[in-house]
Amino acid sequence: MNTKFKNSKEVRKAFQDLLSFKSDEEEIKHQAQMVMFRFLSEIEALTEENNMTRKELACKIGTSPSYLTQLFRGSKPLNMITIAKFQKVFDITFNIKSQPNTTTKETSRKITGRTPQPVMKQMVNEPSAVYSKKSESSQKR
Amino acid sequence: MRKCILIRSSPDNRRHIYVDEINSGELYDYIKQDHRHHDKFRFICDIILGGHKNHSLYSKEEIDTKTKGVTAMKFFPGQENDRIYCKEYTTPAGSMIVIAVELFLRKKQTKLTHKEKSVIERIGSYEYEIQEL
Repeated sequence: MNTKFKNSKEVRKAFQDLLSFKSDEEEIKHQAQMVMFRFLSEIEALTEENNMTRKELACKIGTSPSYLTQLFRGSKPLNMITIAKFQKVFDITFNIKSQPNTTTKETSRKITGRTPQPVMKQMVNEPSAVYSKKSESSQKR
Repeated sequence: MRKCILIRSSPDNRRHIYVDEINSGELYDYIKQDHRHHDKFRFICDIILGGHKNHSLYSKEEIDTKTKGVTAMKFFPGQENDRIYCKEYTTPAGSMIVIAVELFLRKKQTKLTHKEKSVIERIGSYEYEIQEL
């Protein structure tokens, strides 16, 4: 099959359809995997910061490099035990914060019954899972 | 100068994914072939638009100064190992633009072959007319 699009509008619509979800179930599955990828993104950044190879990281958390490869490829699910092991190896704590996905007054009213404050707009694009170094937070205390 | 079409932006409008106009049909057919490819494309797009790191699914493919900004969306490494080679730009305002340019089926080895090098170099030489930002 060789799709020939007539114009830019047709291309955009076709790709936007590809990226949209056909059912709630499909969307939930996708979002579940994206939560995992957000954690793994932080782990990948920390691995680089610490000049560590994936093999060394696997060794430190007591697993095989191929298991880590499968995690990063999205073919194995990330479990809480592995997240805890990552926290220990890098001496970090993942801070979990919830935030609304939209700031439109109508949607926020529907969910919370309140009109959003300006500060909520700034929060929208912050990562929902971030990590903090344990040593830094204990110094602050 | 090649043309590209915007297909999705991040909610903060700081990251954008475009598709090469000439190759859009071929890329569409590849992604649409089944749920597996379709799902993978969505994950890769969301990883890019969310500003997340995942070198197993999306990474730079720069081999020299001429190929600056060439990246690859990786479909099923270790299995089919297909690629959609892309061109990544940062606008003066700091927005990130990723253009899905060309499909490369079944990358067979870690080391780049002559054919892969020539594809990467060709994509590196492309210049785009970017609209709708």
